[in-house]
Amino acid sequence: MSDAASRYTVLDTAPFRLRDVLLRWEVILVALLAVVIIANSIISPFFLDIFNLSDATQQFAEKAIIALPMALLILVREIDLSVAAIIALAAMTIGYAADAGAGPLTLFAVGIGVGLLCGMFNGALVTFAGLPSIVVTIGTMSLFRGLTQVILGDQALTKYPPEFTSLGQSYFVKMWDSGIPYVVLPPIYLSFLSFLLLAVLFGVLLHFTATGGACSQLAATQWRRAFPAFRWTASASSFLRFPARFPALGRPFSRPGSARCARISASAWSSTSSPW
Amino acid sequence: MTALLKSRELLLAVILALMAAGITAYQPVFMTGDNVGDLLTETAVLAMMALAQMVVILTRGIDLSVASNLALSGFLVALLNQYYPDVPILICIILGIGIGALLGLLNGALIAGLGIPPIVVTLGTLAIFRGSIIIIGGGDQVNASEMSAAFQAVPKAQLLGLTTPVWCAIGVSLIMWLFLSMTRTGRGLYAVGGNPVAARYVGISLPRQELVVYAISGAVAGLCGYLWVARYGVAYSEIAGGYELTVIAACVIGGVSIGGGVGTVLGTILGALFLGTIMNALPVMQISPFWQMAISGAVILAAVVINARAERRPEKLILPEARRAAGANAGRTA
Repeated sequence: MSDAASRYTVLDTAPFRLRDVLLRWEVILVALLAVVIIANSIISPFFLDIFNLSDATQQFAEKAIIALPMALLILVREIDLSVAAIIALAAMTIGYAADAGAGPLTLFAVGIGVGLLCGMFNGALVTFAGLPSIVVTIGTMSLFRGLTQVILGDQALTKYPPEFTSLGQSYFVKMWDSGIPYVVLPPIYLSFLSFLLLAVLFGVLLHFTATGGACSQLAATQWRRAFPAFRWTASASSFLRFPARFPALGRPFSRPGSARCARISASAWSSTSSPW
Repeated sequence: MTALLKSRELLLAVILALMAAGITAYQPVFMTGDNVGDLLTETAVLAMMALAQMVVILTRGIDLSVASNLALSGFLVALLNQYYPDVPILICIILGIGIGALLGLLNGALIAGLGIPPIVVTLGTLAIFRGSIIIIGGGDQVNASEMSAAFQAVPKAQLLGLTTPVWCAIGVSLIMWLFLSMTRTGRGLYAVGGNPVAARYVGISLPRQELVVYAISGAVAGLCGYLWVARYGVAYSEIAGGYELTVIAACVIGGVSIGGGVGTVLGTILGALFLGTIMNALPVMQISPFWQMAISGAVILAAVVINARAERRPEKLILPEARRAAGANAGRTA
């Protein structure tokens, strides 16, 4: 009797099904992208042209840079509407620094520093004052852009050092007169960074915050007690479950302290905007 | 009495009064009849849009497409007036409301029917509505000279010293108040936003509620579309650009919780009045246009910090046995 197999089999992992893989949103997106590219090449003879593709790449690279950290924010049910205004403010500060004769490296530091400060301001209001991020960033959107207007007035800064602008406008693989622009590099390494961040460090906290308050409290305790061991399992689980956790974002949510540090860092991170 | 003192509406009203007094002391022209009339007319559209947005936010949703909806329905009504100037204005207004409601229903159907998050749906329709204006008009705009005089006279008409938009806002506020406090659907909105699970158990259908709220939001946007286009005498794809964020800010300053289930008609109107007063006062106080955006941003932040800590009321235990048990537990832990 005791040897009789149970009526139910509980598997440790879900069985592999091709359908699950094909129906993953990422796969559908790649398919849609392929459809759009094919349709466009049929409609216009100018689409599959090296100049056009290079130009399009430059266009989406900036959006990709901002979209990556925005994904982290949305993962914890927050949003940052002020990113475009921060770009304006950071770009202006870089302009003034360039006017003052700062070198390219200093300019990067200035840009990232201004973005970091703006993001920390947002993050502090959201976490410590407990305000909804959509409202905070509506306010700071006007504030940051307004500050830019106050300082800049009706003039525009155009004197950036040549090695700085050449990075944004030249190609690291030359093909005819065009090529693959340098601006695709940041999205690539930032994707990798975000991936690492999600998988190893914040991933755990962010995911637990998204799925439920009690869980994230537990995670924090575990984290303190058994950091090395926990890191392993957690990173593995967030590698595997990352896409699967997205639908869970609609559930009730509380704000435990552990998640707060994740959120404030994510906020700050989201706003580090260098000009390229 | 303490409840009254604690009420968010009273706090906001006091801040508003202090602000108005301060501005008047600095620039007495602020309190003249002309300027107050202007302020009210400007704020009327914001107040109506904020009330409609509040109804959406109550259900834990958000409608980012309201400004685009306003632009599209305003543009269509203006086109109608351009090509058929003989159509009565009342029909134009009703058509505007109808078009807006249909656009809102489209949002509602996508959200309730397909279960896509409201922020994603309305971000999409935001672009679609504005894009449609360019497609329909072929990139052209409808100018004041192409609209009939009667069409443009309505928003400027006065009754008892108040302009049509202000009367519209009063009407919309009354209807909203009756709807939210007297009807079963209206009360249900608070239930759905406050506790969706409990609301579902007592038989309130969320998809039906969502259809209703997005239709309301669209209808009000349609009405405001007509008022906007007729008042400023121009209709093109960029009118009211970014206005949806001002509307949401007005709601939140008025104490509407972005998490759903909390918000009053009075608070929202005061929130809209607050923003309207700032927007009106900055030029009156002759503050440089370069400073205006930064100051309004800072003021929105300050108002939110003071006023928007919308805490949801804790659930009440309604069964006597449960209350007794909870009381006993509380006694033991104390």
